[in-house]
Amino acid sequence: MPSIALRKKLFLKLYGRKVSDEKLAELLPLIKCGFDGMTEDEIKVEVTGDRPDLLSSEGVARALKGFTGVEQGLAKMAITPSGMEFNVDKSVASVRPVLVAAQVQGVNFEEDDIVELMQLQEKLHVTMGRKRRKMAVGVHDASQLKPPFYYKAVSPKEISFVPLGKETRMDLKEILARHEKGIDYAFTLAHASAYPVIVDSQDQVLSFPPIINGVLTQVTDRTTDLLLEITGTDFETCNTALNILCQNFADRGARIKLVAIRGSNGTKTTPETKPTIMHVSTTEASKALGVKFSPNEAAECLLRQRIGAIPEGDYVACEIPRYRTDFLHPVDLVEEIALGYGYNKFQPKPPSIYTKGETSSLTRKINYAAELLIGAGYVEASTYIFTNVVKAAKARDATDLVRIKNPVNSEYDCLRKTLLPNLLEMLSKNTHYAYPQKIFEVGETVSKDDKADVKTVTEIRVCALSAHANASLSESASLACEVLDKLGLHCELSALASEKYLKGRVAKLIHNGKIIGDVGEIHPAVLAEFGILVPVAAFEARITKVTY
Amino acid sequence: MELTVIESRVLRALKSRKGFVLAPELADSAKVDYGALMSVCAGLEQRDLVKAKRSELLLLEPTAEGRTYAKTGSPEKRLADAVAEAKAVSLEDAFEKAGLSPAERPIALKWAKQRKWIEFATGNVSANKHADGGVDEALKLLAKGKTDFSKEVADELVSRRLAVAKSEKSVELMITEAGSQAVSIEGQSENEVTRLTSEMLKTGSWKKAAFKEYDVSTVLAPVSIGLRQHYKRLLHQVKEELVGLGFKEVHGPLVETEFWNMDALFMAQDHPAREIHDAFQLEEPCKGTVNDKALLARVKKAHEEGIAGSIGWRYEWNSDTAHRLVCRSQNTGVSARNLAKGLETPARLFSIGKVFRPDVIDWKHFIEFTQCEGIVADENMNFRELLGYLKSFAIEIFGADDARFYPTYFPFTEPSVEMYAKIGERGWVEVGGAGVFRPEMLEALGVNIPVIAWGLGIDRLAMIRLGLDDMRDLNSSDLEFLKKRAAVL
Repeated sequence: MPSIALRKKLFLKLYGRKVSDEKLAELLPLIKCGFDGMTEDEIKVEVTGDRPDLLSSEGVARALKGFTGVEQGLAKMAITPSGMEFNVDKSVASVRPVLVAAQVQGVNFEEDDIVELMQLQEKLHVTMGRKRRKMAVGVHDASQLKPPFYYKAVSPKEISFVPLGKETRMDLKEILARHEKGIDYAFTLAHASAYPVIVDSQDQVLSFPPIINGVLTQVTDRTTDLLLEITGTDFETCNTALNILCQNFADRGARIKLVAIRGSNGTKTTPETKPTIMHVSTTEASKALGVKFSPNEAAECLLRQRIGAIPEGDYVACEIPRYRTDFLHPVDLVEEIALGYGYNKFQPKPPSIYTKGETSSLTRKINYAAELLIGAGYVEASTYIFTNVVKAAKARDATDLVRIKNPVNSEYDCLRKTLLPNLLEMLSKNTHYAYPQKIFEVGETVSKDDKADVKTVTEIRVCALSAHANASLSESASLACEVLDKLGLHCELSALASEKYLKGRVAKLIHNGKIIGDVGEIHPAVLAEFGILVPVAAFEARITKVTY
Repeated sequence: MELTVIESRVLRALKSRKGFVLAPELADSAKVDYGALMSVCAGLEQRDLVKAKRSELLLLEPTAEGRTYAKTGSPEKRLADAVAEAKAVSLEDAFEKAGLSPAERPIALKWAKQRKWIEFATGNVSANKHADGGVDEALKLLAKGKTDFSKEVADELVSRRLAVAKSEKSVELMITEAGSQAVSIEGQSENEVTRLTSEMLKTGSWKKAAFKEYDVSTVLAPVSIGLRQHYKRLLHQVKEELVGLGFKEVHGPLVETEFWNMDALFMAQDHPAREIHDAFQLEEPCKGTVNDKALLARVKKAHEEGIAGSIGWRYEWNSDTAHRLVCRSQNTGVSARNLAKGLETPARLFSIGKVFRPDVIDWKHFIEFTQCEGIVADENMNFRELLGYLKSFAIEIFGADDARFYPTYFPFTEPSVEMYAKIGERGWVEVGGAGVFRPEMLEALGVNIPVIAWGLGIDRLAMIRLGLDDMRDLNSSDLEFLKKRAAVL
């Protein structure tokens, strides 16, 4: 969930009512803004992933005004034509096909307003924008520009301009190779042979989307007229982001103007602000929530969520503002009703059905195996499923490991196939304590299995180690057979050659003609690799597997 | 006091030495096995016959770079010496004169300046004081095999990657006054009988025997009993509590296809939680199969154009992506598999198991954790009853006094809720999330009644219930720590 800092002064001015710090801390989590603390200047909130419209003071103030009844229903946004035009060349079709834009006039930036605008822009890039791949926002000071504008793809060295943060002209290829933002976001254009640019009628470069703007249109606190352009791969996403920005500016009293976007498939005017219409059944909503709502009451809750709502028989006809992204199904309106009603007002209802509970036979088997070994004086260990190839190799157990493609470090680069390596490592960490040391684990391991749908099988294995001066094959083999016998896995012993164990002091455990494990005295070479200075006898066996 | 043969040998060997003796050395001189020595040492210690000193030594080994500098001198020393010889020169000339490679130059400059060996005036560099007290002496000793250094020197060597530190744990033993005495009086009171034998019982000779009396303050010796691991015991208690609430346990595989881990849960393929850094993918095998082709087609349709009255996510769904294998990142896939199998309803299921997510690794984050989650499938299920379940978990499982609910977002539930519980002195703690499965997900899985899903933060609960501050202690590998843990009942 994205975390943001709202500037308290701006937020309270937008909210327009007096509200105590305590009350804010109580209210914000009820409108999907987890409260993360407050300083004199800032309110820290964590916004849920479905609400990019709440990533700014304007958005949160708008939502809170609805929730507390200060202002309800659809937020107002007056919008007029600008006469401004964008020409989208067909060369961008295979690179970054979508562009939407709006003009904003009469902006009045105060103090750190620009800092918050940049925060919003950045958070939109990370969330809806999928790191600028799907959508990226450009905000420009429009005063130096000569419309109409052109959006086109050009060869990497064809155009050069002075990007933000630099003082000299760079071509597009240089920007990707040397500019900080170019390096960070070059991956968005990894497969492109031509790069997108936005220029005005005088060929002045506004932007190299989604990488960096030119210094020409840099926004300062004296800027009053803005051009907003949003480029990306999906029209709905770009238009939603544009609506978020425009509604924010409208909330602060700026004038929003439409821009005509001319493409090969005709002309569109953006931002598209016509609300989405969706209906929700009050009967269905009441049943799902467990609270009886009349159509009027449901509409009231929706209005508090800044949604247009008109009761029509059992249904409520809803107008959903285009800055919201999260409406796929009427169930999404049911949640809005719950939100408008207030999560804190629902009375939890005790469970009304009876079913018989039980632990699985798998769990019962695991517990029984543990109980048997505890009875034999062994201490249970719990080690991680993640392990590493080097450790497994030290225990001569590294064949056919299931490896991780993207490990966070080499300590955890594969899944354990056996338990022995982790338990030997555990003994190696306890060499300064008294002996005998007897430890065991019963747990899940992962082996390759071509027949399974997930190409692996999750097995349950048991492994027990005994470390002391007289640890022997006889000790571990006797224990293994006794424990496995009780688990319904009667075993015969038969000689085995294994690097893991001392030659001639090792056996396989055979149940019904199948090898299910091995037992023996750990080879001194293995002990030496783990830095263990005491003889160790061990057994490990597969007792069952996870079925599903 | 009675001594075993090994104890007696150990004490005698110790008595002939002065001060602390390292355990492996002592094992040699006492002619006992190291393992045997370690098994008697705790008993001797408890009876105050020996004193033990346990320590962890940081041993240094030089890196290739460290070895080179041991021969050539450190770059800063070479620079300072060159400057001292030439009086005032330009920095460039000093570098040349000292024979420093381009890579060594910044190192030389940084450290020579920091040690105030050189100073700058009017574009030239000149010697300030004699270049000694640096790492050069230590590097020479290190190359000769010295392993222990003062912390200050060791830190600098390690942070500059001139040496790597290996930790070695050791035990040293020393005989006490009482230990010396025990050895010297051993075997003196021959007339007293120490052990009752079956011979004595057969012949009745026990009637005349004088049994040696023990000092009860010295009879306790360490015992090692078998023990359940503290976290596993707690997880089992939680399972029993859930069974008590009417839930039935189910399991799933640790490796999952993205299909069950995400697609079947109606998580769009470009959802941020599906980025490469949010799930561990497998190297080999890397692709699984989904056997139910009709289900595969329904899920594709749910994503692309929507089902059950939804408009869907409207993108081109990629079957290859859905077949990728990952370490499961949530247990909701286990619930989805069970729903797809067809349930006899009403049904209440739970699963407790490991899930894997890339993260930083420290005292409160790890990449592998335990998740406890479950579902209730019931015709009459509603949001208020979901809150009822959550509240009973808070009270029954977390031992909370009260619970609060806030809205949240999960891709596969609507409405969604997150629960905070008030737990004793800890105050309000986030304990879990829940919601009603989305219709797009349920219809694709062939379920036509409401299903709620919940997940509880079980690692956090365990830390509270077990009184731990460090998450790593849940799976501690320290045997003495584990042996000292008593169950919280």
